Amino acid sequence: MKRERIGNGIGLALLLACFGFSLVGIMTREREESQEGAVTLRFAHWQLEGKLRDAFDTLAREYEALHPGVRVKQIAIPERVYPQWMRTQLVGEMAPDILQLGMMGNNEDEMLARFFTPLTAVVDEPNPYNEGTSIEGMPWRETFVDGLSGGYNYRPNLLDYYGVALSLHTVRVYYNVDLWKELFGDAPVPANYGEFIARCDDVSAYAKRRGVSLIPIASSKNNGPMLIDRIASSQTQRLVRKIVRQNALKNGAIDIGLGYLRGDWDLDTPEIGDLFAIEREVAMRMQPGYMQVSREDAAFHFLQGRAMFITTGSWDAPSFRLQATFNIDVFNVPVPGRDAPRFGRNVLGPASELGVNTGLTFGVTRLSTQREAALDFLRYLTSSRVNARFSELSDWMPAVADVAVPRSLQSFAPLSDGYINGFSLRALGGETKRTIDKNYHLLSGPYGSIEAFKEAILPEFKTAVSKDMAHQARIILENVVRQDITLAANRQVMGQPTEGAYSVADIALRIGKATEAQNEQEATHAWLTEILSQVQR
Amino acid sequence: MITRMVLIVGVAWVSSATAAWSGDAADVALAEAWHNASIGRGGEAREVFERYEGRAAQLGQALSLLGAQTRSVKSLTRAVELLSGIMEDDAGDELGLAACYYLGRIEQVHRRTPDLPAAMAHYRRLRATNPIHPLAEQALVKMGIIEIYAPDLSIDERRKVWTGYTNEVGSLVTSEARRDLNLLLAQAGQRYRFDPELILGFYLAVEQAGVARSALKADVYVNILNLARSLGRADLCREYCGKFMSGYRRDNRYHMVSEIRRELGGANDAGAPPATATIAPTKTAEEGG
Repeated sequence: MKRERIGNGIGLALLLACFGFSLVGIMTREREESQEGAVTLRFAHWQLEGKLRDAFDTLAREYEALHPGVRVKQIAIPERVYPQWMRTQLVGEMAPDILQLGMMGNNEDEMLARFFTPLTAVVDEPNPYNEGTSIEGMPWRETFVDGLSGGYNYRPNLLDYYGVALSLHTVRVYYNVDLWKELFGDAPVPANYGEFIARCDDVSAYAKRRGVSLIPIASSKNNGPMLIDRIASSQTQRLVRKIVRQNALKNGAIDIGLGYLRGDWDLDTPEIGDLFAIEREVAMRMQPGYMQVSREDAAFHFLQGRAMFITTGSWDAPSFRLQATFNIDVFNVPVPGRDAPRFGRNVLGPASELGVNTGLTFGVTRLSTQREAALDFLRYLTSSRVNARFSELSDWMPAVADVAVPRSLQSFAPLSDGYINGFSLRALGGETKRTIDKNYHLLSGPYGSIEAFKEAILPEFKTAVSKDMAHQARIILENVVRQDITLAANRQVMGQPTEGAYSVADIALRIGKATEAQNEQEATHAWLTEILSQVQR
Repeated sequence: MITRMVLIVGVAWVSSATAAWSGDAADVALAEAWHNASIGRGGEAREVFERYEGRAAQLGQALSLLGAQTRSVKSLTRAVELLSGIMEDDAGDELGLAACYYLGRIEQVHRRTPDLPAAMAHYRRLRATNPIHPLAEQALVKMGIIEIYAPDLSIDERRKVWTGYTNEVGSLVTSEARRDLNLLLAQAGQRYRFDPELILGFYLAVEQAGVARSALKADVYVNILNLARSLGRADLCREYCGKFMSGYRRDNRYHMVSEIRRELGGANDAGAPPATATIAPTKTAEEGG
């Protein structure tokens, strides 16, 4: 009984302590925010990488020095809880002024429209912090390498910009430089697929000879497809030109999926056979069962020096460099050359990365009472000089045009003289990916074979592709339906402009873009429906 | 007597002023609601539309029902009632034409199972009422989508329908509808492998009508240069290689187009691609040029 009382007492004391702590926290924050003339800007993100937080901190202090009376507070939230945290903050009307945009689930557009400030008018104006640089006077949006055209920056359905980006990422093969030197001396890194596979086999032979625990490629369910799909896509670069009926030198999941349903290609097409063969070759150089491994485990394997290579994005570079006890460098994902004896006939060349979109996007919350200050801070962060400094401090690529890529990141700069890539089967959609992944051990395992894998996926493949195409049709239709409402409203607004809204010319442009997009999407939807009805028959 | 007359006039004036004031207030509120709906805040707009009466508010209510997260048969039926009511008052004014257009849209894309013949009937009615109204011209594009991609057509029947619409393009007044119908014909022509010479013509007409989205403009350029190349029209191909290369230096297709351009020879009028280790500025995908 006495014990129970003591336990309850401790519990109560802890509860009171927590309550007191929270109260003090809230009161302190309120006092800070209510100090006369003082502005406290709060911005939140999910990038817990040490260098990134330090970079944000340094830049925030420098901004404060430039703007006495403004305080900038960084809130770093773990990735796993960020979606729930963000939603609670937004719905509870207590969100920070600036939020990293992402992880919004299925209703991204609705969340953005409801909780964030459209930045369209603002990004049309020059960024004053770019004065004296080569991008002075340019509209803010044009100062980004991709013109803020994708991701969370611009939302085609809403016809508005909602965020500005700080970085961009590319995927590379990382390697253990010390181990490389130990095994291969000063030999250059693999320039093509053939050399890469040869080096992988050298690593395996070395491990066997020495009896050490060492594999060529550390992999996981995340890292594996990054390498395999990129290499495998080289095998469909020429095939895609036969499948896609438009002449735009582009290929999307719809063109490829409908091509399959029309019978333009199947699992016995020679190029698809080569795709399976090259996938098997690469997968066999990864640790067995890698599709059951998480990316943290793969990274741990590599950082322990138990693998020569790992494939991942530039986002991992700073943390790898911090954690590894050996030197790390990267090279481009190696694809077969056109003259390669086995796989060269299908190849055009390495994939271009010019179209890569910027990320690490921040938006201003709609209920922020310090909208101007928040925008000013974002202008500062994305100015030429400060974005260069951000890149140096964080080891992440810059997003702003004409910022020199730091020497340490030059191997991550997007490849400019490349070709449009082919396709991997996983890219057709979720159902097809599931069908492939659940049977993938038959292709990637030591006791598997291409024939066994094909035999396993064939009975489900057509249904899976059909379901993916039907899913695409549903997504398009949802967009088309949403655009109907936005378009109707814009047409009404055009006739009765309101104060603070867009100008008539802007509205006309918005209507033009939305109508064009809607008709194009609607035609694609009709085409999908027509082919799917043939399949059903 | 005079006092009574003054009183009557006064009361009449006050009531008319109040009506005018409340009319103005309604207009302001509805304008604000349309603005909210135009930027994706449909929920806020809907509350306002439901508070007011009149045909404009009715249109807002109907569209709010179409934009709701969950669209039931009941809400679609109500939207049809509201739109039909607007048309009953006057089918030929702005609101009446809009109502007719959205009745067509309900049957084409908003119902779980589309009723395409009903959609066609609404669009035909709209075109018969005022064929050069922007919504009537858009209705023609929608009719084209329904008929050109109709299931169960043989390739010859489809070509016939497609050719029928090629004859309609010339009658369009608005550049938006010209652009969209030409694009529909170009893309459908490619999907069903119709005459490439005609398809090239449609793409050139799309460009002439004015493309609104920069991403589409890039696609139009690449389609034109590739079609021109395959049809042996080197000058046209060269011209569009130049247009693409000067406007889309950060496009994935830059290197491939520059190879096509090199093969053709002649003066090179395009800029160099961005260097590998620097990130060059670009035009945005949505800057409209």
